[in-house]
Amino acid sequence: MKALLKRNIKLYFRDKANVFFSMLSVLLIVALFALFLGQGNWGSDEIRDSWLMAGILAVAALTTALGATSVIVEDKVNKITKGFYASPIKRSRITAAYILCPFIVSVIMTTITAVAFGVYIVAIGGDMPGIAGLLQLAGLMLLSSITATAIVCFFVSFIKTNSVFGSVSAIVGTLSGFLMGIYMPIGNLPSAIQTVIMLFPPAHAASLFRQILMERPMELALEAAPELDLPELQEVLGVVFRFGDFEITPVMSIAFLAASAILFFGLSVMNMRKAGKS
Amino acid sequence: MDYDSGKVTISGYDLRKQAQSIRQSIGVVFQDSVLDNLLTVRENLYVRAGLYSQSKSEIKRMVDEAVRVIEVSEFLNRPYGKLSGGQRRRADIATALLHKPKILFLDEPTTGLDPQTRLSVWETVKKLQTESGMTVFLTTHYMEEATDSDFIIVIDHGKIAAKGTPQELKTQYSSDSLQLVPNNAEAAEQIQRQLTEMKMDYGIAGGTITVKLPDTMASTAILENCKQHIASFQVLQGSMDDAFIGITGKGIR
Repeated sequence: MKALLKRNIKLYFRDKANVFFSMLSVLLIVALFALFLGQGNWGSDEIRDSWLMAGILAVAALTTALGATSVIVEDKVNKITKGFYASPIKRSRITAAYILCPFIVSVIMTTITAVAFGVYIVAIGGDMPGIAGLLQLAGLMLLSSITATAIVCFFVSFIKTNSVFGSVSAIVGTLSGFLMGIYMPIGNLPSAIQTVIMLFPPAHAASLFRQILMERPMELALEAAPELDLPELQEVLGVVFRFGDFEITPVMSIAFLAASAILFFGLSVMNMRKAGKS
Repeated sequence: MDYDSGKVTISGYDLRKQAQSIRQSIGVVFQDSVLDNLLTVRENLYVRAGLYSQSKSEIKRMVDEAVRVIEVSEFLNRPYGKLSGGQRRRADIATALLHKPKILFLDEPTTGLDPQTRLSVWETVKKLQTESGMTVFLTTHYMEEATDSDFIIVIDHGKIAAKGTPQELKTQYSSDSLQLVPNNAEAAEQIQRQLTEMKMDYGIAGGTITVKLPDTMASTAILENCKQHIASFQVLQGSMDDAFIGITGKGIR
């Protein structure tokens, strides 16, 4: 299985265009922010930048995991799997290698993104989160990659042609920015759409990232301007999600991410097994 | 794929009960490639060897051996997708041989290759077969390729239409023929009269008379009788192509 997993990961990174397109949403978000989304009242620049970083980490986990699943589709389209089936390796190992690949790619790519953005934030005079914050961040990156992988594997297990995969990638790349409340802060959206966002598991990863990354900038902003309405700002920016008066706690978000990961993993394994048999 | 009835045994293993042992003892070269275009031949070989063994030294040994036998070293570090058709085929065969299978399945390995590359693929396969003594199981549309094998099964519409050694099939399903070129038009008529008298089956095309022979020796009697009318002649032995047509029927369905 190690050989297959290495192959799958290599194939993702070898296809430079695929790597670029799986990061395209991230690049677009950064560009849009630099051009116009970054304007307006954010409380402080640190708040804005860490808010942006949180969203980008959540998006990157999803889009890179999706990019790495292109191997699954390519193998199916080019009938490369029959070569594996003729060898003694167990089917379950093949499936495991397919599922682990997007996870590892997602972790690698979000780590690179986090480091790059971290360097930028420190360079413009921002603060690094402390050790506890970094650990929380690392743990959350793992969890968000796991959930993202489970979701994309489930959808990709239905895809049988390259063109469908291309369309799905384009849709996910575009929609994820909205569904995680990045193109527009969640507070500016109608409440029906807010509900949809809260049902989208990766949006919870985004909200948790915001809680970790924006904690310190929020404190600083409050010190500088004590009249700031922090709970209001947190809600508008999607740092915390609220259903009416009900506030979703971090533990609930984590549980939601984990539960959807388990659900989608189960479903995709079931679906891939079925497909492997025919 | 499962089967409906009967029993399938491959090198002594039952297909349903010992599928794993079967996979260990077969190598397959598919009709269309199953290697990764973006990886080099070496990387491809390492990936596939990794399906058979966990040990690094073992994998390296398998790859080195296959590279040596199939002589793929000249394009070992080039991406598979950039190779020519013949090089790809050689890489495919090297992949199938990594674990030293007892049976090598080749599914139309030379389809779409130029004659020279086809020849080199065949040389490789024959060398392998004689050196290692493995069984080569080949499917092909080219009858001249089948002629070199030890045993042939002709499959028509999914059913076995005939089986035997190439010699047996040729004797049974194809006939030898004699081609005569007459001296002139009058001689041609003479020959035809003679042939009708001898009750031979014949046809004329482009001034050449082709006579169907029960066996090659029958030609001597005809030649003896028509000696003075013939400009030149040729005795043709039945080929596998003829046998194939004889087995599957003449018309194109």
